[in-house]
Amino acid sequence: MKNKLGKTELWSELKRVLLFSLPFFVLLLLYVIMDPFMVLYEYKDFNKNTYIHKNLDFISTKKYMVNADSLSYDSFIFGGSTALYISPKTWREYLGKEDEPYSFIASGEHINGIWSKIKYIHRSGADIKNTIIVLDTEGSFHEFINDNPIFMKHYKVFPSSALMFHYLTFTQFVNVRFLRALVHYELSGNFHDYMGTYLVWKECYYDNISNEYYNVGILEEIRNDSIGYYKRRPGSFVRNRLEKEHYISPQLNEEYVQKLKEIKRIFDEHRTEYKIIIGPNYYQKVFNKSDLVKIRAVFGDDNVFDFSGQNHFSKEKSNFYDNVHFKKYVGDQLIDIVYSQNKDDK
Amino acid sequence: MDIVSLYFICLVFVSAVVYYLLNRPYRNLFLVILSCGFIASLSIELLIYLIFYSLVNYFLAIRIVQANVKRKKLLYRAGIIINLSQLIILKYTSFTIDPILRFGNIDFVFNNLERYIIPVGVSYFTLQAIGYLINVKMGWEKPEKRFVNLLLYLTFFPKFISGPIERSKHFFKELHREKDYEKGSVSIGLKTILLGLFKKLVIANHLAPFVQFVYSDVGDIGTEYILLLFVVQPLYLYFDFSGYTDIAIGMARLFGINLLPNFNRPFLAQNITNFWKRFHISLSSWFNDYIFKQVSFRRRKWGVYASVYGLVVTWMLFGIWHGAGWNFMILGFVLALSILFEFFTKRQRGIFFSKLPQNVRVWLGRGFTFVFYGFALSFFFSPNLNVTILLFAKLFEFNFIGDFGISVMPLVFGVSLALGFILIEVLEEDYKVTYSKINSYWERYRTVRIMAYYIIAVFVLSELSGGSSFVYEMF
Repeated sequence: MKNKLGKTELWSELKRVLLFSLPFFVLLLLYVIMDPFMVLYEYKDFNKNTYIHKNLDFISTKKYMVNADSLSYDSFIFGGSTALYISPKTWREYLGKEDEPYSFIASGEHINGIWSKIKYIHRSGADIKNTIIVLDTEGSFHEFINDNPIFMKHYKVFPSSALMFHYLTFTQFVNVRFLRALVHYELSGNFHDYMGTYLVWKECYYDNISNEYYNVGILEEIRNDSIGYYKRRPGSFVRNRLEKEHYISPQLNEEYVQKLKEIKRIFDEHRTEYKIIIGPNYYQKVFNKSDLVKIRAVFGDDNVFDFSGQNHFSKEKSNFYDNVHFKKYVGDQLIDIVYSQNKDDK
Repeated sequence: MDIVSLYFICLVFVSAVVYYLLNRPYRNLFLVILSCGFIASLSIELLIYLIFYSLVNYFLAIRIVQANVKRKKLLYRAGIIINLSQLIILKYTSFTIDPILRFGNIDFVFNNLERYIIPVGVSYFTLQAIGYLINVKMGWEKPEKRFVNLLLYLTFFPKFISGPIERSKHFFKELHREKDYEKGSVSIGLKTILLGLFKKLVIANHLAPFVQFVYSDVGDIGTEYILLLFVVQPLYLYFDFSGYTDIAIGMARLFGINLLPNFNRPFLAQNITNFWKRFHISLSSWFNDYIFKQVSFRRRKWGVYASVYGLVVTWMLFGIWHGAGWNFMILGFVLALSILFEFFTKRQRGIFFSKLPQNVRVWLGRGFTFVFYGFALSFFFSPNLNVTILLFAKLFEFNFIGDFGISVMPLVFGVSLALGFILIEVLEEDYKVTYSKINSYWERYRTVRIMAYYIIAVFVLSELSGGSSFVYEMF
C-alpha cells in the first residue's frame, strides 16, 4: 500500500517536472527544425543564415565529404582563420591545370585538426598532390581542448564523441544572450553592438566548391571609408603593439612532433608538394626558434616559410583586417613568395 | 563524464526513475552499477583498482571485529598503513618518494603510476575508508556485511569526485533505510541541483577569470588587484565548491539518499574556529574527529599543550591533504596559528570587544574572519610558493595602477550575485522574522516561485557551453 502511494507521488512529481520542462522541449524542437548551426542535416549550400557563427571545422569537413567524390579535390589549404585569406583561386594559378584546390580550414585550427584532416583524406583514398599549411605564431600548437562548440573538431575526422559535439552545439543555441541577439536581429533586420559576440555582423559567404571565403561586408566598408574602418576599431588595432621583436615560448612537444612526422610520411607517400607558412601577425611576435628548427627538421628548410616577427607585412597596419587576420592580397603575396622558387617550372 | 552538463543531469534523472521502478533489493546494486559506470567513464583502471581497494577494506573491517585484542590492533594498523600508503603513492610521490629515488639514482618514477590509475577522488575515498576502519575498530559501528554497500559507500558517483566526505555510519543508515519514494525527493533533488548549477556556472565561473588572471600575471599587477583578490577568492571558492556540493546532494536526493551537508553560511562566522565548523564541514569535522581528538587524547597528560599539539598536527595534515607542496603546508600552519591565537586570546578578546555594541562586534568578527580567510587562500590558489611571496611583495609595494587590464563586467556581475546570495544568508541567520515572512511569501505564491526557477534555469542554460571544472576536483 505504502509502495503504491510512493509510486503515485513519484508520477505526480514527474508530471510536474515535465510540465515545467515544456518550454525547454519547445526550444529543442525549434533547434531541430531550424538547425541554425547547420550541423543536423545534409546541405548543398552552406551559405544559409551567414550571420550565425558556425563551426567552420564542421562545415569545411561536411562540404568536403559531400563534394569529394564528384570533384576529386587533390590540393588542400589547412590552417586556422588566417588561412581564410590564402585564396584557392589565387593558388590555382600556381598549380597544375588538373589540380582541384580546397580550403580545408577551421576556426582556431590546431595541429591536431590539421593532422586528423590529412589522415582522413589519406584514409579515404583521395590524392594529396599539393598542400599549404598555414601555422599561427601562437595558436597552432597550444594546449588542445576540444570542448568549444565553435572550435570543436568534426567527430568523423578527429576521434571524439558525436553526442558531445551535438550536445555542446545545442547548449550554444540555448544561451539566452544568443537567442536574444538572434530574435532581435530576425525581427529588426539591424545589427546592434551587443550582437557582435553572438552573430557575424558583416556579410560574408563561402564558395560551395573550393570553400574560398569572401568577406564582402568588410571589403565594402574598407572601400567606402578605409580610414574610418581603422578608427572604428581602436580595440583591434592597439597602438602599443610591440616595437621590439617579441619571442614566445616553445610549444612544440614530442606528441606534436610525432604528428608532424606522420603528416610528412603521408606527404611522402602521396609525393605531395607542400609549403608550410607561418603567417605574419599584427603584434609582430616571433615564432619560437626552437619550434621552427623542429618543423624545418621534419619538412625541410625549403618548404617552411616564416613570416612572423617584424617584416614589411607585419609593420603596416593596413595589411590587416584586425589584430589577427592579414588581408587577402597579403595572402596572395605569400603564395607568390613561397612558389616563386619553382613558379617557372609550372 | 562532465557532472555539470545537461546530458549528465538528464541521465541521472532517468536513472532515478528507473531506480524507483526496481524492486527494493536491487536498488543499491543499481546504484553500484551506475557508480561503476561513472568511474569507468573516467578510467577503467581506476574502477578495477577501487573494487580491489574496497575488497581490502571490506575484509579488514570484518577481520578486525572477529580478531582478539592483539590481532585487532595489528589488523587496524595494517589497514591504516595500507590506506595511507596508497594515498601517498597515488598522490604525493612527486613530493615524497620520487625525490628520494632520484637522490639514490634509482631509475623509477612512482608518479608515472598516474598514467594507469588517475588519482581522481583519491583523497575523498581514502578518508572515508580510514574513517570506516576507525569506527569499526573503536566499536562505533559494525562492519558492513554486504560488499555492495561498502563499494557504494566508497564510489557513490555524486560524491566521488569532490565529496562531501560521507560518514560510513550515516551513509549505511541511508542505504539500509526502507526506501519507498519519499514525497518531494525528485523536486527537492532537482531544485538543489539547479541551485548548485547556478552557484557554479553563473556565480563562480564569473569570478574565476579574475582569480586566474591575477595569479597568471602577478608580476605586472597593481596593489588594488591583490586587495580585490582577497575579497574575490573566498567568494569564488565558496560558490564553486558549494555549487558542486549542492549538485552532489541534489543528485543523491533524487535516489532518496541524504548526504551530509558541507556548508552552513560560512561567511557569517565571527571567528576562524567557527568558520571551520561551517565551511567544508565534512572535511573539517573528519579531521576534528579522527585526527585532533585522537591526537590530543593520546597526549592528554600534557594538559593544554595536548590541544596545541593536536591543533598543529591536525591543521598541518589538513593543509597537506589538499596537495603535495609547501604552499599547502604553510596554509595548514597559518590556519593552525590563527586558531591557536583565538584559543589563547579568547578571554582578552572577550573583554576588549565587550565594550562594543553587539552589532558592531558581530560584523567586525565576520569582517576579520572573511579578510583573514581571503588572505590565507593565497596559499591555496597560488601555483607555488614563489608566486605567493611575489603576491605579498606586490601588496606592500602600494603601487596602484588604476587600470584593470581585463573586462570588469563579469567580475561585477559575479560579485553582485554572490553578495545577493550572502544577503539571503544574513537574513536567514540574523533576521529570522523577516526571512520567515519572505519564505512564507515564497511558499504562498507558486507563480513567483516558478518564474524564479525559470530565470535561474535560463541563466544556467546560457552558461552551459564549454568545459567546467571544479576547484576541489584536484584533491
